[in-house]
Amino acid sequence: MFATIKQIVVDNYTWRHQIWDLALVDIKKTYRGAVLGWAWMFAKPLIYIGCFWFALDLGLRASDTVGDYPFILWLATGLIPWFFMADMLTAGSGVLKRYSYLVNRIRFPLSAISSFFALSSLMVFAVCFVVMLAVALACGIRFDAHLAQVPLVVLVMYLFFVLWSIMTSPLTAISKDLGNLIKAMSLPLFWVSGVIFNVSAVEHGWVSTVLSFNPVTFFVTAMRAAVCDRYWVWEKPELLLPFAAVLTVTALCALLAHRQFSKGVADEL
Amino acid sequence: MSSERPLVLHTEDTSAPCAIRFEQVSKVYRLFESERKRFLAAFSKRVPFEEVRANDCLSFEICRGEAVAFIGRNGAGKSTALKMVTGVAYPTSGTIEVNGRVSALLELSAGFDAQLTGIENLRMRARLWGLTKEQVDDLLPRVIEFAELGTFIKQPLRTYSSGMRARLGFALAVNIEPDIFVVDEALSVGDKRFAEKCLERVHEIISDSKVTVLFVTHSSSSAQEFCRRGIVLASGKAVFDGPIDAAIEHYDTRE
Repeated sequence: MFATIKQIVVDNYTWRHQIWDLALVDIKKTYRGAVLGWAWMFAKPLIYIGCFWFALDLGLRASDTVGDYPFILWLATGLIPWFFMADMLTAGSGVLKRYSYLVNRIRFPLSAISSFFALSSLMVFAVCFVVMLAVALACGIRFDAHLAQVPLVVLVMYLFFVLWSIMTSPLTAISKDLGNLIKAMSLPLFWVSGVIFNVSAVEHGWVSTVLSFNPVTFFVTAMRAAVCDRYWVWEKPELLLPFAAVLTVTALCALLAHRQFSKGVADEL
Repeated sequence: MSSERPLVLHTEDTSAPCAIRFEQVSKVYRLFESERKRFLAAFSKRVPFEEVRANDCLSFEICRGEAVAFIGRNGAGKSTALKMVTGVAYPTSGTIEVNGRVSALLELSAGFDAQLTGIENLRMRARLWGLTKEQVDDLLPRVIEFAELGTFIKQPLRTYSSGMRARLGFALAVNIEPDIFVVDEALSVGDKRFAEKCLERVHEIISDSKVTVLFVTHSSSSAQEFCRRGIVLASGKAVFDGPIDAAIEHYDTRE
């Protein structure tokens, strides 16, 4: 087990320059070819945020379930990380198939494929998030010290989804079923995770207990704690502990999957 | 099959006298009846499967600067052995030691990204091969000149013909100054003039005493042209290892 951890860390360190290059190239590739190019990076989040704001705030009048800040800020703080998470949940679990040339044409560590893909998604997320904060500041919203936990939450989010990708990508390379299952689960997960509703406003106690084991709920809530609700994540053990458990289990499974499959995947693709 | 765990060692140590060493290397591919069984086999050892031994207790040692031909029919295990030399496939058992950086002329156009331009692809591949930014900047003009793709070098790879892709791949593989050079027989890249230029360049690399060459073929004439030693493979085993003329004779009489 420790040998696997060491191998993953050493691989990622040795290939760090290539990981960085691949992540940059991957972003470039995504936005090139369209006339509007980089504008598309903001187009998708803007459309989603606008749409949900219209439906929830104006249509369903759900805005009084959150605190005394603009509902749209609360919405954007959840949706922007969700785009990263959605990307990692589906595309992140299929990286070995997607970049099969790095698996069976070139000698390149498998875990680094997950790292660079997550990094490229994370950079898109970071740009959108910073722009969101800037717009909020320009609109007269002031933040306090709690904002400082954003980098920490983002780091943990990155780590969690790299582990997720290391865990699932060899399996989706072997089995199409798992890939399809994950794709099918992605949208339902969005609706039950509290990205667009306030989890703490749900009145059934067991629902919030179940949801506290949902990592998507944790990251969304933690981001909102930093930006909107202004408390420290570790002040709420009922939020932190279930997630810590999920993180540990995911890490163990990822290490197991890496040890079990990393040498054979090249033959399967 | 030995129960010992396989050991693979890739180093960049070019001072070691031994460039490539295979010791009792076996590579077993498992074939399943269906995709479902293949998936289940990942979790259970009781799923039945058919074994194909691509390499079977293969042992050989290649010293630095040697040029060795792998001779054998289709399915003799040549490609599998090469994949393990380049490090993209792992053995099922045995020990592999490779000292030096490997450049392979196997599937030339494989591993390029259709969305990226020729230059970007070259840059990315060279970086993935382990060169620093400065080394890449230094190398690129030579590769671009060799590929002779003109203005297409700045176009996305999806606009390339298969011949142009192969030229790009070849130009990179022969110019990155490998320690170990793996050549598949398919050397006829592009038109006659370009193919001649490629052959000339391969000759140049092979005659460099520091470069170790593994040449894969099922024809004898090109093997004789390039190599002094030959290893004949049949059903995954090395059935002959010796001077190239004797190896070819051995191969021809078995046919």
